[in-house]
Amino acid sequence: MAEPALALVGVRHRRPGFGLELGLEVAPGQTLALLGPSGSGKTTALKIAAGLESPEAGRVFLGGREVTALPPERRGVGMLFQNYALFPHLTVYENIAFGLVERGWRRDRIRARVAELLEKTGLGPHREKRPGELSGGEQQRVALARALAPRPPVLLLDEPLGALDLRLREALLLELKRVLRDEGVAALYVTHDQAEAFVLAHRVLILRDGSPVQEGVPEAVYRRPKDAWTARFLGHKNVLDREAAARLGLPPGTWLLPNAALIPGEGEPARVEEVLFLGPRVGLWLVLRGVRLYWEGPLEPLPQPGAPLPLTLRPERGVPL
Amino acid sequence: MIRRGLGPGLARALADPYYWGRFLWSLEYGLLASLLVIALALPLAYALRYRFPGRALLVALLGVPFVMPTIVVAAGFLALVGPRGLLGVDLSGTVFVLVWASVFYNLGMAARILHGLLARTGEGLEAAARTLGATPFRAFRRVTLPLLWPGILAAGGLTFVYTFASFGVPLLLGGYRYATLEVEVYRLLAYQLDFAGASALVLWQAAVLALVSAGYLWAGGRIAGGLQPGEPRALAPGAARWLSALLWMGFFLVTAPLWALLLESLRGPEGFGLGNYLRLLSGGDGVPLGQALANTLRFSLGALLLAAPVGLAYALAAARGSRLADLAGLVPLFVSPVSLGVGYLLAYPRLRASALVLVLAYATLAYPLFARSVVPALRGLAPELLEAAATLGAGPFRRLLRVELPLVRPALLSGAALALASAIGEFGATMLLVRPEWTTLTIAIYQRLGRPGIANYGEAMAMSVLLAALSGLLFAAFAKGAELG
Repeated sequence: MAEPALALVGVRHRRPGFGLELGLEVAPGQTLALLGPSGSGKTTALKIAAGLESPEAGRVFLGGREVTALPPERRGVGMLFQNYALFPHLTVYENIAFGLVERGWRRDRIRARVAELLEKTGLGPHREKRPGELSGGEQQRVALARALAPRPPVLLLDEPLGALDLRLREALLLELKRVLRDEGVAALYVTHDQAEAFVLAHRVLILRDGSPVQEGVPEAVYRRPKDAWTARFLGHKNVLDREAAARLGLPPGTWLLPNAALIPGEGEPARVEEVLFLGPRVGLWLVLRGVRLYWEGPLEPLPQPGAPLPLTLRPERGVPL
Repeated sequence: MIRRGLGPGLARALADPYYWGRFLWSLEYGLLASLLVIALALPLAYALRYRFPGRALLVALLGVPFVMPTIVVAAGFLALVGPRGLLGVDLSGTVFVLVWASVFYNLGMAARILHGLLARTGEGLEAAARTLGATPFRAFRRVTLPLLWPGILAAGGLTFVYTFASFGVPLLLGGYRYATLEVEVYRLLAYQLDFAGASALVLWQAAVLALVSAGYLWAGGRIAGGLQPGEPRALAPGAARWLSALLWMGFFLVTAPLWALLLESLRGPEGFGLGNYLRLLSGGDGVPLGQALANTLRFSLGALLLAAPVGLAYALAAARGSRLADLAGLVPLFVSPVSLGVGYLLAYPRLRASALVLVLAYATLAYPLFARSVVPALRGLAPELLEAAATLGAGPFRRLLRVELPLVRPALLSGAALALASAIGEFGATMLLVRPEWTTLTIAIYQRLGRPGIANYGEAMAMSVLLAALSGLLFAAFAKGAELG
């Protein structure tokens, strides 16, 4: 197997009230999402990879070469900052060219590369503007183009869509996915949003309080979360404790009931507690044998809150935690 | 004043090589001080980004020199390096002392401006430059420095303005060789009653100051947004202690004249002790302390009564975006105290007989300081608050009374303290306008410094310490208000 594009080995970093202990690998051309709530240490891990923080122990490798002792400017990674960190005194063009100038590229080569990126990101008309004159989405594109300009083998992204509104986020997410694929760059993507991580990443690593909890391809991690905390963090609503599981006739233990384990429309009568009309789908909070359960999917006609609704339980589709 | 000055006065002054010499020296002095202040303020601003023992206190104390009366500072330098000075080296009449005084006054101000800008530039941009392949030096040169330029120009410009037109320190310590234009104006009037010549020099000086002030305002405008210093960064304990020791040593070095002043005030003809202070109480030779203090307080409080409403009106106009008010804000920068004194003498010759002229002059100098404290607070108020008050039925005056003023109360207190501090330490205009029966603290100190004998010298030192304490107290009130705001 080829050397990983980026590897953190036994990295440890301590701060008052917080400790990070982490190892990870990103394969060439692949995207790994580092997923965790705020304060879980994901940004610190990113800064250690970039060389902006030095770890207390552990080693950092880029393409098989150890870089632990190297300052950020000699690592050659690209980084996308949460607030973009665009240089306010430089134009869009000059921002994108910044890293190329540092690497001593020739003028015509710089011009060609920047023009290419301006076209790819649709920023051509803005090349002479300064960051202050751009919208949030445009700033995000400039930051991406600037980070990619020197063709780094590894791109580090720190919640790059965090500051944008929902609609823009969806559009940029797809664009980001396309650009990462086209550039063939290995990426470490830090986010607290599981949907972002699932859409973008080949693999996800879930981080809690500075320690890795689970790693795998998005589907596996989502379908088979390791524990109750991870399941809830990933957005599962039917995480049953011992008592609730027993009431529903499941074997002793903590269980996760995914959507597919519930089939409304036939079977045992349940009570509809809450109806959330989401457009194409409906979200239902149901009470079955005194246990609150959530189901989401297409359903017509819309049930009324308080009304009874038949519900079939498929315990064999449950996931033990 | 313009009429008197533009007449034969200006032509005569411009033709006189002596005044050209004074002008060139003032220019040189201003430039030299600006460069030095920036050279010291830059590393200081960088150091302030880190957490170290005593950081909060040091940051608070940076503002103190700004309110120290010029006569106190001059006395401090005499106490340290004057003919009778503590160090035994007489440096009075040298460029060294004058530049030091300018650093004393302006370093804190410059460091604050640069530190605020640096904090906003933030680690983020430097980090971004580093990941793009820039070494720390390249990141500084290509990112931080260009973003700091407006601050460097603003701090340098302000230092130049204050230094170029400085009066008290060059008058007492510069001798004839290093007199600034401002000192020359005073001498022309006080010794030769040459109104035309003095007016000409005032115009000459004002032209230079207006030019630099315009540059300062332009640069200041480029520093858009507030200067909110961020959280200081952590540092290894050992490094933090070294940094702390270094900075505090620097602080005591720069402010050494004040400490020398304190020591010298305790050294009288009878030896070490409170002799000087006791003599001030029991009368002594010069104007008694009680009388000088009463005069100072009378004029200063009177000035505050005038300056507060005028300053508030000006602040309200400026906060509501009046161009005229913005322009009026420029004027105090290039009208120096001595110039103002000349102006009052020429404009209202009859007022000379009334102490009102001093009150008016103080108020003119103080109201911009008051306004400058209040404008940012007014601008910082959320417009929705006023809109809400309006929908609840409050008219413009009621909104001012019930919403705006209560919310900016800390800034009003700050402004009042600053205005009062400027009035009690006023020296330049007082020198021109004062009459024996109106002798203020600053004048009483100046007179004692000019008299022979160790007793007079000691009394001047003691009086300076009292004035410094008074100013320090007002500064504490100012800082309290600023903190609340």
